[in-house]
Amino acid sequence: MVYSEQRTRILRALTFAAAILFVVALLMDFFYVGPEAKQGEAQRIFYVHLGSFLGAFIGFGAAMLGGGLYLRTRNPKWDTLSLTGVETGLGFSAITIVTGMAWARPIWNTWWTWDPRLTSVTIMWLAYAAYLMLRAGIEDPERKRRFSAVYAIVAVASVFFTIIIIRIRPDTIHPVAVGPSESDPEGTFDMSPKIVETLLFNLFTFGVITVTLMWHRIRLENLQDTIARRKMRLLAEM
Amino acid sequence: MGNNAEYMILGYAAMAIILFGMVAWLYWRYVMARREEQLLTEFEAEQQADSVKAAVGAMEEDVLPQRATPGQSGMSGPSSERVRTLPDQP
Repeated sequence: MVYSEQRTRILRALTFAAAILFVVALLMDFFYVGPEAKQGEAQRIFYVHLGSFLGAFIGFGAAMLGGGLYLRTRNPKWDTLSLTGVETGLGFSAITIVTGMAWARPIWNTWWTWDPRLTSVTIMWLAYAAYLMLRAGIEDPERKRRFSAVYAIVAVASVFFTIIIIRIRPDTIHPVAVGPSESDPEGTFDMSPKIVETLLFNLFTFGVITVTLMWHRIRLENLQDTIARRKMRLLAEM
Repeated sequence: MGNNAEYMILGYAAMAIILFGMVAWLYWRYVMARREEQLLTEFEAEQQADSVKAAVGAMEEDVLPQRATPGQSGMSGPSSERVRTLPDQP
């Protein structure tokens, strides 16, 4: 596939911007905002924890969108969007889980507990890991795309379930950072303006990083598709 | 609860490892794909050269069937049925 020079320039600029934003976000996390009164330095994990969850949300949202558009148009480019969304989302949700564990150890005194939120995020991660297994298990390309599209649409329920679970289950100990909740569990963040600014900057940064990674991944997928087609053509000519 | 700086470092280190792992994995796959593409281009060029050579050989056979070397051009030799039945041959 041949891309326009303008698109390539935009992608390069976006990649450069993502790298700069990431460095600035880290500087803000460590130097701009101070440590939280109760949780100390561990609270800083919150910025990348929430940022990476936004990345996962964008990825899985793109997967659902790609799935829906593929079923509607049968254009393989939407399947590529779906696949790249799942792969990127899985990476970012892994960051969310691991950073959450690092925060939970000093705050909850445990690395892991089967809290409703932690359970739902694990189910979400496994559901999307199964998406890749499903794709690997089907050989017929059209069938693979169709099944994957349906799966990507269904699997997004696990993302929304993860988001709302802490607002509908009173027995969760996971803090609700934004919006109302059933209860007001201990450990809820009391956000100062600096915390809000740092959080918003991190959310923006992770959003840009996600889009950039997905764009690169789409290009890689297109390149691999082209190579596979050329191989088939060569084999047919031999 | 203390300062908990070690857990903050652990969290950020884990984030950096996964994120850079994602980027490195993407880059590595891209490099491998480019290498494969390069190999394919070379192979296609080789195949193209072979088919051109075969076509030239076939034309030579048609013009000078007695000089053609069977097996070299990929076409039949001067004594084969195909050459003997060419319309412009005596």
